[in-house]
Amino acid sequence: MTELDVETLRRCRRGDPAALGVLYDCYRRPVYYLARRMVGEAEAEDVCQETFIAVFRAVVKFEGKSKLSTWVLAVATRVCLMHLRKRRRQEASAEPADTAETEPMTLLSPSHELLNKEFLKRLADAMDRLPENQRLAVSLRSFEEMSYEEIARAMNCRLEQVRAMLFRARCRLLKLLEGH
Amino acid sequence: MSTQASEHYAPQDWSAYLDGELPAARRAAMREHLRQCPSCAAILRSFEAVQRGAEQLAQEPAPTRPQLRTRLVAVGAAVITQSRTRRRWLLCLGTVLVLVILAGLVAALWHGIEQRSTPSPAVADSKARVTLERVLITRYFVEPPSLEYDVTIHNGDSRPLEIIRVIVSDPMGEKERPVASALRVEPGQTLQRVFSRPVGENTQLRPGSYRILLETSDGRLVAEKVVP
Repeated sequence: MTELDVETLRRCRRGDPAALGVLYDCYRRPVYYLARRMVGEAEAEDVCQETFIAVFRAVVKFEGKSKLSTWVLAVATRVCLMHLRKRRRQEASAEPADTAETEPMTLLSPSHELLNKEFLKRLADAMDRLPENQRLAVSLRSFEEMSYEEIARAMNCRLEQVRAMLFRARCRLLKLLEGH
Repeated sequence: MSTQASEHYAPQDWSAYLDGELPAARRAAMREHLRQCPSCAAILRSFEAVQRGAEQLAQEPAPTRPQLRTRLVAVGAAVITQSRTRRRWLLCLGTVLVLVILAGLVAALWHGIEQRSTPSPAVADSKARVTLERVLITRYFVEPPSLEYDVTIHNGDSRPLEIIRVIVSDPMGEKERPVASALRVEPGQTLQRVFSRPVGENTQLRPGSYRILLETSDGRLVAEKVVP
């Protein structure tokens, strides 16, 4: 992910539409990806819009304590979680809980390890079947620059929890991929 | 988990290893272990495949919506402008409030200093005098008891004396007494007046200093009586 330069950020804070357009173009893809993974394609666009409105509203107060990309994704994370909570209230659905149990270790056979289209499609399906917070951790980790610390900040949890969530998510993904 | 080459590292260690979230020394030991352990290498490879796949998924382009972009950016610009204007107004309002409070404080302080340090022109220059003849507590049948200040005011000046404000103070506290309309003492006139303040049912006259301050159009007149 590219970062905005200081001058563009300053112009964003002043409400310059051209600079806000640059910010939007810069982070639309990761925000959309996160939204799609977390709430599904149908609501991804809504989450995206809400995220950017929240980002524009708060960019005046952005202090630069973290990278702008991390901050934007943290905002997107909060919006996603809000949507999921709302949906849960409406549907009272039974989301598989993120238990502390670890899946029995499954390994991919060499043929699976090719990152071909088929594998990616299956991986995307498998990711959609992960519990919410594991899915969120894996999605955030998909953006190379995001460290455990940044993910923990975005998810408002401890670093150790991120480590455990990622491990459990990967084990579960391997099991789901093997089951295909 | 193990640190010996012959034993295996736990799968969660390989997950953290893949993310580069382990201390350098531990990472180096695990890298060394990988060379001689095909089963650990297979675990790492599997995790890696999943991670690389997720990263690749994250690279997928998002659908483009130029109209939505234009609308969002316009909304964003409006929101920011509005918020900046509001902040500016709040800042102005805050500054004005702080200045008003400061001015009030300075004025109050100045007034206090003036009251304490400036000699009363009436006392210093004029021939107007006030005498506190006596203080006593009176108890009437219906009304609550009151502390009464029996005062004689003499205006020896050639111009009339107007009393605007009366403040009585005693060992029980200080109180301003109302003056219905400005009390006027003509030149050469001597006036007797009683100023009172209500006190509690069982209050007795306490020993100490009893003081009356008459604020006039020209300055202040003060009289004091000490009750032994």
